[in-house]
Amino acid sequence: MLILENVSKTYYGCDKKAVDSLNLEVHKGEIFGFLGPNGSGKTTTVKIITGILKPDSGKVLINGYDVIKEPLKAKEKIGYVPDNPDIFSKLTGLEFLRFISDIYKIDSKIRKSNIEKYGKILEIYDALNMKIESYSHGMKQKLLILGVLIHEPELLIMDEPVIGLDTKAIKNLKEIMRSLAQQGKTVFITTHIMQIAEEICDRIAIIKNGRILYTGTINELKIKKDDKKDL
Amino acid sequence: MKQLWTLIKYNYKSLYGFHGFKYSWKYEKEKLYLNFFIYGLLLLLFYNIFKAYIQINKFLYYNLTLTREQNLMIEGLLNFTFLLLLTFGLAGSYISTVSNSRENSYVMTLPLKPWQILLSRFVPGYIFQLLLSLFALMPVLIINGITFNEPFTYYVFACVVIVLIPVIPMALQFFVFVLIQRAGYFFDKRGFANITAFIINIVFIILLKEITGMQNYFEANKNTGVSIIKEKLSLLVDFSKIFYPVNIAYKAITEKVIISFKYLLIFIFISLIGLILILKLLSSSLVDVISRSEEISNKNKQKVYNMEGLLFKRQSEVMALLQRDIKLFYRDSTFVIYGFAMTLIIPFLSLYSLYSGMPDLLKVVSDIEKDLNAKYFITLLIALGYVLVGGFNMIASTALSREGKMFYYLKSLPINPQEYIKAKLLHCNILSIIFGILTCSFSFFVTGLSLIYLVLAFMIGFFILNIYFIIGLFCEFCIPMLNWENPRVVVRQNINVLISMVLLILFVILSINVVTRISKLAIYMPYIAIGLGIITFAFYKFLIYFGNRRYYQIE
Repeated sequence: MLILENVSKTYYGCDKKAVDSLNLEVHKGEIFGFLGPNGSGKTTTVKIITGILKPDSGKVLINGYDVIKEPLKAKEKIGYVPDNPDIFSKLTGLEFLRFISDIYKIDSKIRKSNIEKYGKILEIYDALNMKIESYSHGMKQKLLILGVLIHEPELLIMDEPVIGLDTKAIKNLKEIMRSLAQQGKTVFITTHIMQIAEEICDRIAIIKNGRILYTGTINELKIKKDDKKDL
Repeated sequence: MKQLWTLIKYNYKSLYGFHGFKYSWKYEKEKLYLNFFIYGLLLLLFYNIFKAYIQINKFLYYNLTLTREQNLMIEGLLNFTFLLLLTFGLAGSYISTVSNSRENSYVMTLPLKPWQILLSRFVPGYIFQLLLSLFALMPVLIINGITFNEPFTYYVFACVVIVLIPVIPMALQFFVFVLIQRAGYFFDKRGFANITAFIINIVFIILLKEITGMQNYFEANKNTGVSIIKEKLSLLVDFSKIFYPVNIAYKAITEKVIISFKYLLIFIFISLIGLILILKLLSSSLVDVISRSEEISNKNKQKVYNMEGLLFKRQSEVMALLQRDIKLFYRDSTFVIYGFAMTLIIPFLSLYSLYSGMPDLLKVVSDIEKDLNAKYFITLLIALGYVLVGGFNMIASTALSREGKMFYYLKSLPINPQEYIKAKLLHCNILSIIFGILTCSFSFFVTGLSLIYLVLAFMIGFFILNIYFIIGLFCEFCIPMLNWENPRVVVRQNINVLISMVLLILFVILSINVVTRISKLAIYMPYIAIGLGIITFAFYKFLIYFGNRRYYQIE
């Protein structure tokens, strides 16, 4: 579903590579956790996958489409929840969802039923008629997640999705992710909390200083942990 | 004291961007050169206004010295400065009291006394007002000093007056702003920005018109001009009956040394009392105001919009982008100083110009002998009028920068750059087309031209405006300013608007000059319209081609 081949990126004016020769493959129907400490290159990788940043070298394939060469086709397959939910603050929640639905060309009936369904699960449905700027951090996060769920993308990319969410919302989100994976959708989440990855991820990758140190399941990692002291 | 100094430095740096200059000097030289270029261009564009102002002052002053009435000029100018600070200077007090409310709330949590917070907010606004008083008073005070070989004390006293004159107007503005905010939930940040911008725009237009109008008038009527200006100065002098401190400042400059010194002390005393009063009386109110403004903005944010039925309907990608753009633009207080509010100012400017400078223009236009050449000539003028009015909703010059970091999120969505550009162009055209129709309708009643000429005028105006919008969008695609948490970047964005506004005015003036000098040009107008149409289309195609590539490169 998602393939990264030798992806490298150095920010303008910096000597150090933010992401260095990254190779990764995420399979269809799995929940993939991307772990690493602060500043390790997680968000940069996500931004490269979503087409926000252009890699200096290497390529990103989403469902076979190259993000650089065929951006529209690749982006139609993804839904992205950014790490900073402070966007479109002057729109109401519903206006934002309408915008997203129009961009993804979602049918009126589907958008309505999905907004009701997921809005109620995420407990944000009643606040949709208010401006986003009045929302708390957690509510903004929930709205962005709802925005992604309306179009039920093939690949769900979430950058630190649980930050700001309450315990119940985290539990609901985990259930949603599991149910999407069962439907054959792929979920790619970044986090720096091992416990989250342990609870929901089928496989994980650990990144540090822009390089991948480990890819595999949590159980394999536990077995190998004595050999790999870096982790 | 050290805390206060740190806070003042912080406010000063974040507003005026000198820290940014220092940073650019050390780490990003290209950006520094670009900044120098932008500010240099701005100074160049305003050079004529400065020059005209100094010329008028010089001319008037020397003519008044012939009848020994030069002090009338100083008194008039002091009053003018006071009025200028009260009106145009509102921007300074707005910056100090209302803007940056988020930072204000944070500063409240620091171990600072309320008066320290108030004084630290006062200083950045004061710097803006000080620049205004320098611009307004310096030329005449220097000319007067040199002409009458005034002693050194005259210059010292004049400097003190220039430095202190903004204090009283600012104190008054602070009282009004803080008390209105304290009194109730009348205005939020957006309301304040709207009112402040409206007053400032009107004052700016009157100043521009008066300065350039006077310059032209003096060139044409060197003798009779003085008596008319004397009347205007006397009108200004009447204000000193209301603004008593100005009267004191006038005496501190014009009387003999010992008497001057006495008045100077009184003026310093009044200014200090003004400052101490606002520090004493408003410091505790400021704490209230900050929490009140937080409440007001929360109250406004909590508003419920019930539009569910409509919002579930599907619409095209362009319409979705357009609606988003319009809502974000008109719901944000940062952008009210251009766009709709600015466009509404232009009819005011036109009416003011008609009454103050060229009362017979309408008559000339309506009485003109309507042969084919004249008809085309008037049509071209209508088109340029439409360009001026329609072009003042300068949405294109900040189109991308306005998105801020949202642009990165937009990039992650499957949005075709072509549709994105179309939405931006449509947004630019909505208001301009409305004002184009209004201009043509108004011209129909004034000139009595038939519909075909008005349609032609509309087409020419439309094409020129779209070329202007396309160039604006092209510049935005080249250098977008997307990271603008810092308020000074918002100020710089508004400078983009100012530059594009001045360029548009220059274009219209130049075009009118060309049209009036080369009268034969008017006959070729249908061809001009076709030519402009082709150029617009070519520019549009180029923008789509360029935007398609550039959209994905912006990081």
